[in-house]
Amino acid sequence: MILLDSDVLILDFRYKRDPRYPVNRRVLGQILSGQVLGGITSHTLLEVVGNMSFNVPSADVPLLPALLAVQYNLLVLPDPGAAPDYAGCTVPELIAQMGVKMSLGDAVQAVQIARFARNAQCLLTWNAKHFMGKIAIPVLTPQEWLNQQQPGTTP
Amino acid sequence: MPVVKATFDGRVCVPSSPLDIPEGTQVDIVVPPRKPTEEENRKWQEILAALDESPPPQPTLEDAMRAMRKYP
Repeated sequence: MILLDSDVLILDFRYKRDPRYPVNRRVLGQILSGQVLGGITSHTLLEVVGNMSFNVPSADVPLLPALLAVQYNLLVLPDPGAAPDYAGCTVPELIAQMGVKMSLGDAVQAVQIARFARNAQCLLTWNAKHFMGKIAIPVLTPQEWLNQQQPGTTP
Repeated sequence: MPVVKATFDGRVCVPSSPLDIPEGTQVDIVVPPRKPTEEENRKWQEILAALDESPPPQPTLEDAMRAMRKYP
């Protein structure tokens, strides 16, 4: 069995003009034809789902894990049905979170906040706009938070 | 790790050749992925069309991976 990283799949359906596309396709063709058994870790599959979530209708995001697995003829290891836990979250929770257009890393953070840190005052990030309205607590940049602490000062 | 082909006869998996292992040895069986249904093929084409309609959020694959994994 050969395992695929997320860039192999993302290149195939997103970057068809990349010079590596033909070689990538040949490898995927061998998996699709059954010449080689192909696999992907559930973590990597979720990464691909997060990448796609930005350009796929939200209602379709929950369908992506199964669709990717059958369309590319891949074994998913571990099988999310048998091993749904992921970093204190479950795979279905992460997929639902990615339905609001989030990368896997951000979705894990959002679900972990909702489950374990709901009482936190806020999340500080320089990427606040990407989290706005998508997580259970307020989101601020460090600058915004400082401004709230020390009104009128600009460090 | 040796890999042996086997055929599922509807009840158990039958190896294509004798196995040189002690009786009672536990083995892992890899169940191959199933084939997509017509509905799944239709949906997949719809999703690919949606992706083709909008440019990728990042201009290159490397940029996409950098954004996804928060590489510096």
